[in-house]
Amino acid sequence: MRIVIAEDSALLRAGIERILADAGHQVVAGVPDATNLLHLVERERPDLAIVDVRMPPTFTDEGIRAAAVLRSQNPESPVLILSHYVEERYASDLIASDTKGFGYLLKDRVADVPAFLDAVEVVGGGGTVLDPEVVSQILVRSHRRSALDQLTQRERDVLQLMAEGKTNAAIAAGLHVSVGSAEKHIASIFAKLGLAADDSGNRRVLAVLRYLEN
Amino acid sequence: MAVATDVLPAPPREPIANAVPRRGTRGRIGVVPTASMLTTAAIATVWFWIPLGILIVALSSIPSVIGFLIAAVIFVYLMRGVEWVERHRSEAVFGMGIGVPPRRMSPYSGFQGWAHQLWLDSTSARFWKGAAHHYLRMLYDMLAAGLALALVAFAFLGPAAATAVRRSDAEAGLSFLPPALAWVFAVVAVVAAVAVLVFAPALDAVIDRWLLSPSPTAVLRRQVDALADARQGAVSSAQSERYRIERDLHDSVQPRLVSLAMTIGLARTKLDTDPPAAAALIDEAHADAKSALVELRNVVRGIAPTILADRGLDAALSSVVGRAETSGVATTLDVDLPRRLPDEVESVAYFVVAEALTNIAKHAAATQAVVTVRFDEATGLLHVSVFDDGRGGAVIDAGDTATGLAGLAARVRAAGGSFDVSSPSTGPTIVTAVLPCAS
Repeated sequence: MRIVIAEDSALLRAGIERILADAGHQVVAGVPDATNLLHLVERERPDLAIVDVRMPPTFTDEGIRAAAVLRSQNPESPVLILSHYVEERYASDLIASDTKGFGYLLKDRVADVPAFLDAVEVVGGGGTVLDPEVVSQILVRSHRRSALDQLTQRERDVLQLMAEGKTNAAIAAGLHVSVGSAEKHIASIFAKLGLAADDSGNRRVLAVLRYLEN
Repeated sequence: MAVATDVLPAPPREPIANAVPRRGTRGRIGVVPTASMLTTAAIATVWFWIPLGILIVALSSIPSVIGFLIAAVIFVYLMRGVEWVERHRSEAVFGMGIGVPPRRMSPYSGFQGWAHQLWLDSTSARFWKGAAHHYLRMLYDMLAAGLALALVAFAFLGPAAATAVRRSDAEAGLSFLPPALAWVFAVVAVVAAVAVLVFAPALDAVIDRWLLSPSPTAVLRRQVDALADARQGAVSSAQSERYRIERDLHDSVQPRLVSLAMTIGLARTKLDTDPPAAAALIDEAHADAKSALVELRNVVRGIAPTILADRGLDAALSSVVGRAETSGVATTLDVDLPRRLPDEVESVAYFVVAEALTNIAKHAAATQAVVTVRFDEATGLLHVSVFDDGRGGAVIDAGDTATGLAGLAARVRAAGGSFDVSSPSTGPTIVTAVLPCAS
């Protein structure tokens, strides 16, 4: 994949580049702030943009805002956001703009190299990957929790893995159950939340999250 | 400057003290003020002598200590009650929103506290102004009511007397006004009596405002005390915050990094001789490094979460509660805020929730926690409560380690709020903070 990186720490930029290059991806450019990112994407048309959240000049949510602009300009341009902290509010903002190819992960996850590379593949391929911590933040809020009270603990675990962008097979493996019973759980979740079942992992995550948002 | 600790800090809002005094004569003239004046006059004819009598007894029995003390205590209690009644009556009759002067509270407890409180009360300006107010009002009301009564009596008796004198024997040598003039005077007297009854109470309102209001000095003094208290809270909370950060780093991240460096060092020595062991050590180091990241993230988060400034309290609480959830306590966040609140209020509220949840994770052995945040539009107060079903027995203890709940209490006090912990030894524990939002 051709990838651009927006990250203000040179050390981290180099580290991520090294991991991606080792896996055979091509990092076409790296920028230390969000303003140049838009020009860069416009010029390079990469398969994926990896974006930090806190960057100059204000070090608050530049990356999130840049990603929102990026998505509205090129809905087909996948973005993977990496941050020292994840915030459900930022995730909701970006999910609300109905994106495909969107990821939001803690920077720590880069240390698990294979998992990180998987996430890069999923997002670059138009899928959605959310950090488990984002999902748990969404689930603690009471009005969202009440919607989930009807789910069993097992179904919640499945929902969590779905939100992380896992396939049915990966969910089954993660919970040590057969693919068949994982599919049963998923069908049951959709039935309980009154959602139309959908095979596409990405649309499915968005449907669930959007349901939780309301 | 000595910080007066024996004065209650001003509560954030006092409906009476903060009500804008309504100037003008609205409510100063009418049936109610007149009735109030006549009632005072009627009661005063008897009551006037009772507290006065007790005071005289107290003063005249000074040689007998016991006699003096008993009479003095009765007098103080009587006057305190009277002041309370007068204050409420004034509010009910005139509704001027007169502020309540601060009352110095004794720091002691038990009998010593009771005696000291009596002393403080009986030596306060508020007490004697209250007593003076009571007597001045009684005197004035009796005078006004007496004048009105005399005028009415003249109106009834004057014409009758004039007529009787005219018809009497000239030999008797009686002389009085001519009846026609007596009738004129009678009408004037009735009008004057009505005027006295209607307008005299206006002066009652003036007396109330003069003697029941707190003096500017007392108001300023209370403000200074409240500010000194808040400043003390700010200083000690900043201090305990620094200790907390230092300790968090020292206890969690630092040893983790040391162990990481040691593990990698060990792995290097085994790299050539025992590759499988080296691989196992590297795995261990990797896990260590990831744990260090999590711990460091939590520490930095606790210092100043950017989301708080960026998106406000509501958004910031998601992650702090989510973190409690992952630490094994099922936590629910129930937050409902109409809008962004002032920065300082938001950060104190965030700190209260974060610190309370940290305490729960460390000490409570709880299975469930509930964080509730509500803004009361009517009073402009933000209510924050953190409930857990753990073992209880939490105390606000400013011991050697001024952290945890004591630090929270100081921080909330610095923001002019109130902080409370209810934690019986059987559990559950509820930590509440109420913060004023001057917005």
